[in-house]
Amino acid sequence: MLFQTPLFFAFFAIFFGLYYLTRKSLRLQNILILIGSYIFYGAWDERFLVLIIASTATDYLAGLGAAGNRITNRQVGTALGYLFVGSLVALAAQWETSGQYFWAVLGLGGILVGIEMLSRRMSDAARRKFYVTSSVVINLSILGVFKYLNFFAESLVALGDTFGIGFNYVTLEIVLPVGISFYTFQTLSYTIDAYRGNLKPTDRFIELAAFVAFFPQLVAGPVERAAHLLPQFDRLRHLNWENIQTGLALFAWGMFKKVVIADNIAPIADQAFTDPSLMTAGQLFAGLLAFTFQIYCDFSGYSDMARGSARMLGFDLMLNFNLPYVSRTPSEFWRRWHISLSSWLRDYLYISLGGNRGGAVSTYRNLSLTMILGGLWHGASWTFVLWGTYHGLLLVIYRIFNIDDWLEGFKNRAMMSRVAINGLLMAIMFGFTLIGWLIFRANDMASLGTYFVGLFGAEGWTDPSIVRVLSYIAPLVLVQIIQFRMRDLEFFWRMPKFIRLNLALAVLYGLLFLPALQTQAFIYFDF
Amino acid sequence: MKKFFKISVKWALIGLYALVFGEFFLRAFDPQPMMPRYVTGAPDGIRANIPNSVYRQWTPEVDVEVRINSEGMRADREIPVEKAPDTYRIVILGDSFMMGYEVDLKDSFAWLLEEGLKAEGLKVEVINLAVSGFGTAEELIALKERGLKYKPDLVLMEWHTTDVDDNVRSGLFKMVDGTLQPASSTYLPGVELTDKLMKIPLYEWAISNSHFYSAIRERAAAIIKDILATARGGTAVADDANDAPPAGADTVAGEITDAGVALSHLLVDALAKEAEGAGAAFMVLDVPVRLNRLDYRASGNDLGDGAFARYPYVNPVEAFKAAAAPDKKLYFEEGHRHWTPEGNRIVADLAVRQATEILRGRVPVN
Repeated sequence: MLFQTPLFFAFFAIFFGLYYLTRKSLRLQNILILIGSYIFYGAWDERFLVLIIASTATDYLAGLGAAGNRITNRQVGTALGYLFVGSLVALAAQWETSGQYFWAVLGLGGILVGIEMLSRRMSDAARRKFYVTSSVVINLSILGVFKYLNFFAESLVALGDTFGIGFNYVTLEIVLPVGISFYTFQTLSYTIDAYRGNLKPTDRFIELAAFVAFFPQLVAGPVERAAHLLPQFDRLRHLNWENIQTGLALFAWGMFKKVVIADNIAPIADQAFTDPSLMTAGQLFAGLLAFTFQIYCDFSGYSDMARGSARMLGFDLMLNFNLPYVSRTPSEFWRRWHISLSSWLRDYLYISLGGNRGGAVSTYRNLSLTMILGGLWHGASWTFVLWGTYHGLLLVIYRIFNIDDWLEGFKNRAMMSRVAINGLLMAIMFGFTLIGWLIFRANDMASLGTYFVGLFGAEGWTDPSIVRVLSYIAPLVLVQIIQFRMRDLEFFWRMPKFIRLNLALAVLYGLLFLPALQTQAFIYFDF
Repeated sequence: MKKFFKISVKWALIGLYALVFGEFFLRAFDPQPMMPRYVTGAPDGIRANIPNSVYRQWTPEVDVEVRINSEGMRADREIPVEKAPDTYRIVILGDSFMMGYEVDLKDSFAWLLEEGLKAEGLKVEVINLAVSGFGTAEELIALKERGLKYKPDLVLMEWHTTDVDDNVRSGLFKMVDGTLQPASSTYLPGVELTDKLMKIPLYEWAISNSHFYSAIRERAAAIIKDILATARGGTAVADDANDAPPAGADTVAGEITDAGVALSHLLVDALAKEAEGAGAAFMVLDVPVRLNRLDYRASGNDLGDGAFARYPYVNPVEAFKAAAAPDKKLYFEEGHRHWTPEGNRIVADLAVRQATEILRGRVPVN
């Protein structure tokens, strides 16, 4: 169910009506969120719900255990009951073809019982460690099977072929469930935070299940932190006109970025990346520029729609994008781009690896490793690994030259020189970002080389596709200049009423009259 | 009460401003093709061009005037019912392609057909009974009620990919035990409302000049077609594989169902029979579906292979492919995708050859 489709509007309208009717009962509202979220996710394929249910049941117990609690029989019963009954319901409609997956569910149930029994004899510290490790292993195993198994299997086959060994039997036909990376990381953060003592795990199963499956951010983030989102399920949300208004505006702007900008320039990127050897330098540049803004508008558009719809329901989701293309350095870029994932990687991976506590060389190693794994999070492909490596390298180089520190000291300079230097650094960083997206979007390593070399040609620099891309991104650039200058992403509400009316009409008419002919799925649904 | 009045005035002003804003917005960012259709209901229960109307069609590619005579035909002259001796008459039945939408009268198929036949030495009058949006069902009624009185020697029926769906949707005829039966005496979609609205000067101005109106109408038409298609259990599909046409355009084809195909076969046969009963020859002209600038397919394929084999059949697909070039447009691409003057000329040349062959051996009907 895509946010920008009539189906979602119908779903949300009905959901909102019921949500309003249940506004006085926290429990009912949370149950409604849970059911609504499962319907939303099940619209892709209801069998995928088994994965969310498995993740919820696992982390319900793991969270409690990782915080040092002794798990009660009631808690085990709740988790297993939910796991078995929920999975049966999810598989029921396609039982004949998918009933065998219930064996895996039973297997997981057995593992959870085994973990609980083993943990009984452990000391507090060992039990906490045991639970957090179990959660990481189970969650990453699910992610690994569904997202990475084929990738590594295919790489093994390719390697085997090189040495004349046939490994073809190891490849499997596994479909990637939508948004699996997002909710896996979200549930992991819950258990890890419980282990670290950053939050008190919940004993209320429905609230945790609703937190894991919360539909506005379920399939493409923001990857929420339990410490921020979970408490919002424990208090009555206030439905007020201000939240509805501002949520609607945020949703509309996100949808504009998606359907008017991203989807309209997507064909230019697609054409350029399909076979770069057939394109002129100008067309390749247009394609790269198109993808650079397509991925931003697509992903940040989704985040805005997620935050907007959540806000209408009285929830606050974290900011996920903060004008990333005005970044001056790689570290600033990652503080502005996909903030929820970047901060996740920083808090749970970089810091766990040692962060910057072990001297320069280990800091560089930790940075590189974090970025490589961050690249791999996006998908099972060597181009994503290379993209992560590239960004890791940029972070290391900027750190070697202490550019971030140097910029700190630069704050007191005269305004003109500050503007000039900042502008120069932004342009350089934007250039690096372009190269990053080229690596990210390339179909394979061979076409990456062809594309890169092709960019330096002399032909096609007056190609109309360049003007087309620029004309579609013009409103975005204009809005972002204002956001940047006013230091307010939602400057709309600070504008005089008449300006607001004009901006609202422009967005509304853009949505009505300028959407792309072909509705496109969100890029990050694949990650 | 005073407060209510103030709020009403405020929102009315905002609404008005939103309309004006929308007009400027579209003119700046997405200029719409202005393709008004001046049609009304006729006593025979189907649509007709509004007699004596004059209107303009303009798109980023064309700016043409459409002039309708007192009999509701696109023509620059009146055609008396009485037929002059030794004159052949050709009745054309079709939709906006035959009406020559998006081209000047002198670039339209009907005009070029008449001129071409005259150049062959034949004394000919073309009676163009085409009305935008017509399908075969309406054409059958138009022939009986409007065409036969002109004593045609040749009835030329256009076949377009939209016809199967139009024939089902109109509900004018149905198939019972393999035979064609009348099902309804009228099919006047939206005509009553349009007739009322046309009495409002602002509306008449809007249909020819307002980009905002045009855009809303196109989208509303697309939604209605989608709903109708969904209600019938199908999905409206565009006839252009690469490049979907504007919503609501004449070139949006509906679902091709087996029932629709069978009904269409019966309607075509009934038309042919009606023509032959009046002593006129019958021929079919195909409006090819544009796949891209270089590739086309026959609309007649919708009815199965050799659907029109038993009739003289003008199929311009090969001629279009031969004339096609990457920089040449045979169909307009930014309006409602009708034939360009070049497209009309190619089809007319083929039709002239076929019609000459048919008419030369005949004595004019009197």
